[in-house]
Amino acid sequence: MKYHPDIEILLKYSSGQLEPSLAVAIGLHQQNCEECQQRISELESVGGETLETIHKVFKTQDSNVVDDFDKLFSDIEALPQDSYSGEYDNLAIAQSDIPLVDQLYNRRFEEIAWQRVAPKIWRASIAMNDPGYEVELLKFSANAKIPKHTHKGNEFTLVLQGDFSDHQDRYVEGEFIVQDQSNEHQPIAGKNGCICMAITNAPLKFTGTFGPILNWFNRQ
Amino acid sequence: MIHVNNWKQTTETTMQANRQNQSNLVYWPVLNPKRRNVTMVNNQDSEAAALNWRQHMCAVSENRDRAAFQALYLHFCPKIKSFYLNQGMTAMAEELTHEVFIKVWQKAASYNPEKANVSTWIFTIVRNLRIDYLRRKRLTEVSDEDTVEPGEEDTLDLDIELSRNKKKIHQVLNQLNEEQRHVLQKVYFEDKSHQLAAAELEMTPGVVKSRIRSALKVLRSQMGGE
Repeated sequence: MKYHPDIEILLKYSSGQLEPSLAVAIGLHQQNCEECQQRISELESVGGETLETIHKVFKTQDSNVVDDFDKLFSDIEALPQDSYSGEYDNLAIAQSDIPLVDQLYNRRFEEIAWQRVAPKIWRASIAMNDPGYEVELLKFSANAKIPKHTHKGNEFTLVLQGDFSDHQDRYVEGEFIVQDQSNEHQPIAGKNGCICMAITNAPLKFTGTFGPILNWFNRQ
Repeated sequence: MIHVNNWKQTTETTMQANRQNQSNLVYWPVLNPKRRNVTMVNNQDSEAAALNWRQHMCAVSENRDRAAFQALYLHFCPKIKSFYLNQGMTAMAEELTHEVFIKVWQKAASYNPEKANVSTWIFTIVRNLRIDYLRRKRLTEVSDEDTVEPGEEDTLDLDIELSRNKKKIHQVLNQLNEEQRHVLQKVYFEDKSHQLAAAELEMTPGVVKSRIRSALKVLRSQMGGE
């Protein structure tokens, strides 16, 4: 893998400051990328250190703390004895986003309500309730040409399956790519097609022949 | 290959430190008597403490040791509560801290002493509960959807050789100087504004920004950027 999230994104992610949409994408990347797992645990240790060096900001009696502990322990004893486990616990994402991560990580793409927008191109938008970003899944058949487009803001792409190429490079499964408004590009899906997660903070703007039509679809 | 690079890095850093003592540009911890109170913990002490907590945590996971759990609680509870309070979560701090320790107990078996210090592992629980809380708050503001509890059954075995990696962690973070670390802690991990971080660290906001930039630069080069 060649394209990884930048360290600043990882820092925001590791400290829990990243917007939910991006956190889902980074979480999925993390699942597939040992290198970033390593970086993230390094950054998390800064978090551990922060916790360790924090100064107490409230007053309390030691006896209260012991009472609190007894209360905590009785709560714990009242819990069911099942062994607890969570497959995605290591990711810095909300519990409520885990079903989505699980679906995408395990590639249950057939469950998705795809909407055809052009020959060989489908899309599905994902409601994340993230005010900062729009999230959609894009699916391209083998060798589909993705219309020329630019981005008004940043576009973050995570390749979920297959690959695609543009004039600069070829992007494969698991890679996380950032493009800004200066990149006008016309990607082409690989021979097995491609499914991507696209996160934008402003809609894509198509510039080619089909541009007006696709922009109209984009507004739907 | 890596060794050669590290050696080169160290030599360069030392040289820079010597040069920059005069111009007061800090590349390596420079002892500033005024700021002694924020000086990092003695490395040996913190290593010993980390080992101590690791043993406690293993006692909790292997023997469900209540005394060890209580010791962890007495040590970490005030810190966690302060962490939440510092982030303005006044009403929730108590409840979230309580939840953190329930998770610590429940998830104890998934703690891997080879992989992380106890404080780091606990931090990830603290962080995720904060993420959940903020997300839940958003969701109830936007819609009335209930959050779905995932029903995961299998325990993920994280038994990978990682002691080698741990060494690297220390190396990478040690490349940051004290100021850079403090700035990253305040701005990212404690979620403080540049202004607030600046006031607490007795710097100007401009210096805070430049420390962030230089810290990111160091991390980028150390961790192998893009």
